[in-house]
Amino acid sequence: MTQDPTAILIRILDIIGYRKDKLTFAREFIEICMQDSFKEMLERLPKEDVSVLEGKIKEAKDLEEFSGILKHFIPPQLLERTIERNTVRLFEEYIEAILPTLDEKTKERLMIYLEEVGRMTSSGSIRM
Amino acid sequence: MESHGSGDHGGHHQEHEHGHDATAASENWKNKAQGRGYSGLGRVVRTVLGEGFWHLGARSLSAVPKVKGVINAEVAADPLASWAAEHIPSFASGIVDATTAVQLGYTATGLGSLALGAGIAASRLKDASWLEKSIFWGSKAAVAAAHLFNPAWLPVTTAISAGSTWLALRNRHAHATS
Repeated sequence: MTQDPTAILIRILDIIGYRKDKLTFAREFIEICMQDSFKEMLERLPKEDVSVLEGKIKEAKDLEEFSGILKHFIPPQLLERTIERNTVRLFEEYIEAILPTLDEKTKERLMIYLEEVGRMTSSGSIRM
Repeated sequence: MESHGSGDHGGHHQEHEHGHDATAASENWKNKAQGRGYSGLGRVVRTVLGEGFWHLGARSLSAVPKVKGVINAEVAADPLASWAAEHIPSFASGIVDATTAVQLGYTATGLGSLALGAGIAASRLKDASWLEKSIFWGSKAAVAAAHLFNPAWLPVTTAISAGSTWLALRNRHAHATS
């Protein structure tokens, strides 16, 4: 069973002593990954697709219609790969940003947890 | 940056300091990442993207007691599913299904927040460009899917797992050679 990335991020925020709303930060982190990925894919669309998409998007009224239209222009597998690539980049960048603020003990706890998360894919589960 | 003073201040003070610094560094990173992602987008869409469905909806719920009352009245198990089925935007491919959401423990207020947030976002994005609308709705649909269905976690979880391995290895190596 695939693990919830929000839970992983909240655990990391716990370890580093993040003081604000952890769930909000975790959700915002995931949204940044998604937004970067959609923006990248949309900006690479061929011109002919852009003009068709532009016309259809104007008519759409709710999320169901919008996402239905987008699915025609953004192949799911390509989207998944783009999300993966952007998430790796953003996650590494985030950890590198907080590391200098941590003392050695906290850094060690974080690294132990990251190693555990890293093993997750092969074992298929993780203890939170 | 944290000051690792010795002696007088003790461990508690250091813990207090590193929590404060880590929070500030996290917020700083988030603001920069959002700023990069929003570059080239209009002011309205930047604001709506930053707020997200949940925040928009939650704000409206607290501001409109009448709506809140209706939602609270529907907290009982079965009516919630039927209420949610009527009010939540049905995401592509049945991503949001009222019964599933209820089984996963989403509260009536949470579902109402999501639904209202989507409605408010739609009205505020009326004059946004095709690219802005597409980024907004696409990312929101993907996030909604990630919150409700396990398969949608996969690319994010896989990436965090891969990034974790690399970061841990690199840190260990740096520590060993320092």
